[in-house]
Amino acid sequence: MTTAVRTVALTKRYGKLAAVDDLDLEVPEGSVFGLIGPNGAGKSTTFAILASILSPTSGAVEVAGFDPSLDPRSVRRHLGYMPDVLGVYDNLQVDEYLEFFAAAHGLRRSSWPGLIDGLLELVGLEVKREAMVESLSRGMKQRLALARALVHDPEVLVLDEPASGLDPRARVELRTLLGELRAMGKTVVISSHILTEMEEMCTHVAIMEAGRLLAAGQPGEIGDRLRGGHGVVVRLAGGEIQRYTVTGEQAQRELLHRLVADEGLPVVEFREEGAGLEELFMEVTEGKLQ
Amino acid sequence: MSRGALAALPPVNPVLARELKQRMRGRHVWLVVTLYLAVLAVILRWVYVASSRDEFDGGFDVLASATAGRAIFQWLLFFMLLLVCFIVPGLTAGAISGERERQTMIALQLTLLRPRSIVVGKLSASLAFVALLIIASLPLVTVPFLVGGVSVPEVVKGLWMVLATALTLACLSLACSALLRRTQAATVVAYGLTLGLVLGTLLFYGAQNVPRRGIGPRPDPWVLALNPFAATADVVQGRSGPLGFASPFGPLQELLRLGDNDRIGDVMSGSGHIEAFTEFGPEGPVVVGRPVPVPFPGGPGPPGVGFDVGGPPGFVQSDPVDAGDGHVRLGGVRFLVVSLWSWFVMAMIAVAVTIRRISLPASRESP
Repeated sequence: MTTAVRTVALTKRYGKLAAVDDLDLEVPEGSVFGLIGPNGAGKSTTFAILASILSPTSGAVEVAGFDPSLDPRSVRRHLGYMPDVLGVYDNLQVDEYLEFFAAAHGLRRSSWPGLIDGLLELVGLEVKREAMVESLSRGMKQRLALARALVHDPEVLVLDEPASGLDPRARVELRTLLGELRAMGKTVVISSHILTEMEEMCTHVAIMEAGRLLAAGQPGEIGDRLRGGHGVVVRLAGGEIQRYTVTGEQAQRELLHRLVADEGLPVVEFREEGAGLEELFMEVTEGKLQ
Repeated sequence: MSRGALAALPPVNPVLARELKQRMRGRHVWLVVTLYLAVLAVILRWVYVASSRDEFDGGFDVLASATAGRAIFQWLLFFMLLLVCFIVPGLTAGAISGERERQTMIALQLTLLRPRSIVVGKLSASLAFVALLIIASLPLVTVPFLVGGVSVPEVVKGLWMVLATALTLACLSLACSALLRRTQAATVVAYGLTLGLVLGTLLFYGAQNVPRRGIGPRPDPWVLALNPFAATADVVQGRSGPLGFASPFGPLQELLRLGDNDRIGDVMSGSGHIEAFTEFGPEGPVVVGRPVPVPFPGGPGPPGVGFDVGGPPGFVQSDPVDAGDGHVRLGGVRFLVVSLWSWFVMAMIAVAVTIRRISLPASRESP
């Protein structure tokens, strides 16, 4: 699997403070990669470096094959960035807002109508096409910001806290939208505090604290590494409960096959135990920064 | 124009297109344009009435009519410059800081627009508004033509000075906007800079003259080259001073003309016209010139009144006024040229600072 985003020993210092400290990340192409960490963990700084907003103090970065410090324009061609704060212009309609960013990305004027129709349909804002941007609700502005980040059809999307401040309905809509983006083959790098949602959305996660990477990989793999495998609870007909420790999905499948096919046990429930992202997060982080 | 033809046009700077769209939809645009034109109309009416009262009492007089026309033109030009000094910093000081405050700057910087395109777009938007004001005031500017006394090249030069002043102030204000995070602070500093150019240069030049206590040669007015009113005074120079009306540029023209002697009093005739110019000489007041009828430069027309630089031979050589074309010179270069070059350098430095400030990736900024 090719890598869409890679950082090697990435460090960003402000004086004596290391906002990002020796960070090694690999984001596989086509994945939804969640960066998790408490406030001040260095997530936004990492995203700013990926998006070519900040230069790192040291270390190497590669986004879609380009170094943001050396070739920021190439990175901007291939990356869509949505910051954690929503900025919109006054006195501008929704379609005009997107037209402006299409023009700013050098897209041909003749391509704008089709592009904007498609983007508004994707984010569910077709009916708001001629509405003034400042009149949109927070959730709608969030979706418009996502449409803006997608205007030049980037391969990599970096979304910093896209769900913050959204009501439950808007969160569900955002989650659906991210699913669609993944289906379109985009690589999505996302940060959020809402771990249950990250668990549902992300194929890979990385946990950061105080600028350092604590764990990275698929959620199940991280749990396996931390606990030397993860617990599986098996309930048999009649109520008997058995517990096993296995490593990886393949081992789970083999265990189930052995219990059912080889040993002929009447398995009525087979589930993972305590491997949620929240538990992992609490296990890995020490609560140094909140 | 059809949509296809529109698409075939060369692309407009996206920042300019967006800013114009937003600005024209703003609530205050019509108010600013209306107030601007109202102020100019009041000035025009006031100068016209004052000139008519002074000059037309004894029936129609071509020279008096030309004097009234010149008075109207110069006062209009003066107030256009003044209004530009008020409007441009306010328009431009929020251009970058406002984007930061609205949290739109990062999204703009992460497009494929180069920093210089963003700066050009922002400056063009400010200047487009100034151009709108100038175009809107053209009907008023044509009034001096009806009355007489001004030529088309002179009006065009005057309007170019307004536009050059606007461009310089816009560049300086944009740099303030890029350097300071808050629009409020940027606006204060931008107006401070404008005040410095307009009044600060005059005070500085005044302070330079304090040690001589009114005697001896004056220092060359280099610092006044930064002053937009002084440069414009040089554009209308040579054709206003002794014409018998109070030109708003008169005091500046006096400062620029008298490089090494003070005029201490003009000898007035019974009708109120200047008969002679006197200045301090080594042995007290001396008459250094008299107004004489001269043809207006640039073609036929009614005679005007020029400044006959008389006096001892050494005086003319040391005077910064070039008796040949009536324009002030600094180090052998025309004052206006020095002014325009100094503004150009200031504007370029301001643009370079702005571009540097908005270029990414930044090494120090926190995200």
